[in-house]
Amino acid sequence: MSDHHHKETFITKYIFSTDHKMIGKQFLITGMFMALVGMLMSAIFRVQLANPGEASVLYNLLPGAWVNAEGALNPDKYLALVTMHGTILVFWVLTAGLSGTFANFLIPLQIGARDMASGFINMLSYWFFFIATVVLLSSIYVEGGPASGGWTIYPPLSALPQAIPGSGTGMTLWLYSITLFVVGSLLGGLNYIVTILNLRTKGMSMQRLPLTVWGLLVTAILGVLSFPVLLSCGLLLLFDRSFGTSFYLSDIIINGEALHNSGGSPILFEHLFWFLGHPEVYIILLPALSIVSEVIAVNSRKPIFGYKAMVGAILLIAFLSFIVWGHHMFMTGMNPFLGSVFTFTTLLIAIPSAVKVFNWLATLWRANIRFTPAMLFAIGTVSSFITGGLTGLILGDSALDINVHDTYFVVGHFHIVMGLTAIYGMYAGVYHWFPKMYGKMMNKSLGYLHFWGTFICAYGVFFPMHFLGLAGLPRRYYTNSSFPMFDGLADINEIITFFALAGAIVQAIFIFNFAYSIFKGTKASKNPWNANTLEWTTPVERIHGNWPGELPVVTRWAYDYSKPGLEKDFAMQTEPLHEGEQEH
Amino acid sequence: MEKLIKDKASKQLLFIGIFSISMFFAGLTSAFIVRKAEGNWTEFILPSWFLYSTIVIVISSLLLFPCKKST
Repeated sequence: MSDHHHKETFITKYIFSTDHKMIGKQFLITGMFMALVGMLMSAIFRVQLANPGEASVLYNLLPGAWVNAEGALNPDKYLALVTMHGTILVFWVLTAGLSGTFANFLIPLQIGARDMASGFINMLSYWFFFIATVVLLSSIYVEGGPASGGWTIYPPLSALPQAIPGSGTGMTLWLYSITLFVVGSLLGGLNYIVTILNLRTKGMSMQRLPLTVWGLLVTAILGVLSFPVLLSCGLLLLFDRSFGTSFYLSDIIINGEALHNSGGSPILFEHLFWFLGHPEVYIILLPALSIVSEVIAVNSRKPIFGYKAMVGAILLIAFLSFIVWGHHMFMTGMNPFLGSVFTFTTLLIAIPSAVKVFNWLATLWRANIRFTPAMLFAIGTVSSFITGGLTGLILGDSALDINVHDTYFVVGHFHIVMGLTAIYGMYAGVYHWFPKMYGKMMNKSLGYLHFWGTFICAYGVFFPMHFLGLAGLPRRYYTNSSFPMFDGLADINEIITFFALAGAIVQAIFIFNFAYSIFKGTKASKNPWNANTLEWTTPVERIHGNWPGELPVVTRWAYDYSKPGLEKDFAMQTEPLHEGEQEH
Repeated sequence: MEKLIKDKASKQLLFIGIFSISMFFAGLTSAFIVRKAEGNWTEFILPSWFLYSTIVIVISSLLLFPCKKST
């Protein structure tokens, strides 16, 4: 047995665990819980948009003060729901839930390490995340409700505690919560980078790393560079809120009296926020896209097409993600020349993105495809990345963006390219690595039902939003029925809400399948997908230290599928090269 | 061997951590420069004790390393 494996109590095994696999599962379960909360919030505000000002049974889930005497949702709480939904999905689910789960679970297993460089720091990263979760959720129950100025918390709504009900204690708790979240993310990210650079097993050169590890490494680098800037942005906001500074406040008159804070600029906030905000898109996307590369190669029974180009594309996307933030700010009075520079850098991202899509399609081309639920979600990821990416070309161009700025077109775009793509990638990862996580198989039929239900409902929700946006419907409005010019769009809002509710119900299938399979699923074999990477050489039973005895030695890359001359259609990374066999 | 790798990893963890923290200060510094350029910025001279205390902190940090090495 490895040195790491030792007798564990319930507390050290399931709660304060330093085992990367358990920490990965803790991130997954917390992320799933938060996804459920965020999804319920969206279901509630979609009901309001379909039936403005009417009562609904769903509102019973909310604190009493959120609903008026007629049983309808209060307008300020609609904004609170939208804000919390965005915050939870962007940070809690698609950042921590995705990266936290798969970086923790996969990195040591796929590079051949016993654990992370520091198990203790790894445990801390989860517990910072957990406390951040508690603080954020507790803000729902404070007087005035949680933060309500949108997940981007632009000042002055976020900087003036008296601005709207959610700008008070709720906003303060939002800032504390995000600070804890960032500290947790940084601790995790530092650990991932150092682990990958130092603890690779013998033979595991950087050129032999699975693409999942490349994606997770670059994601961690993005986080380490950009999250601290969000922290500084939030700190200055706290100063404005509590200490009378005016970094972001200027020329504001409240009840006829000029605010004493003056000389600041909310545009400064936007620059700092989006310096994190755009890399954040790729902090969310890169892990999902890397999971997809792995799942597609395994289930196509073919080597990933253009491995080096894929690594290059990941690196180029990461670099470009730091010089495009201005495309979120075309409407701030930006110098048109600067706008054209940001347009140019933004459109450049299409090149590495297209390289990735081409390589996935080339991998699928004439492949012996196994349509497992993981594979369906992986192909779904490619599909939504293309669909959402195409509308990104419109929003990345300053001249076109101005026409649809802050409309439902933007909502449709980022939900498809970022939300769906990342969620599909996450589902692909969960279905694929579930046997390694829990030693059981998930039910395939329920998986198919889950995929098709999600796929249809997701497009039913987000595709029509583009047309609402083109018709000029603004996002974040409590009701669209107060404006006669939008009366003709009421039916579309009802259709979207129908698909949103149906989509939420479909996710129950996944939750049932997940929970049922942990306890009653068929026992998994050591390598159920006949995959090549190192995690499938570990025993089915979880041990701290991953491998009994010596660490595995790597002799080939991760994508030797259907290689001519080999007996089987896969060769694990530990399988020595045969006589006369050339490495890829 | 494993201890050597662990030590190397710990050092790297520290250096990347320092780099990450410097990004935090880069954010604050850029905000300071932009905000100051906007005008309406109150200028005041820091008491000289801040300079002395900073010098003491820097010297104590520099001394820490050889002190630890000599024990």
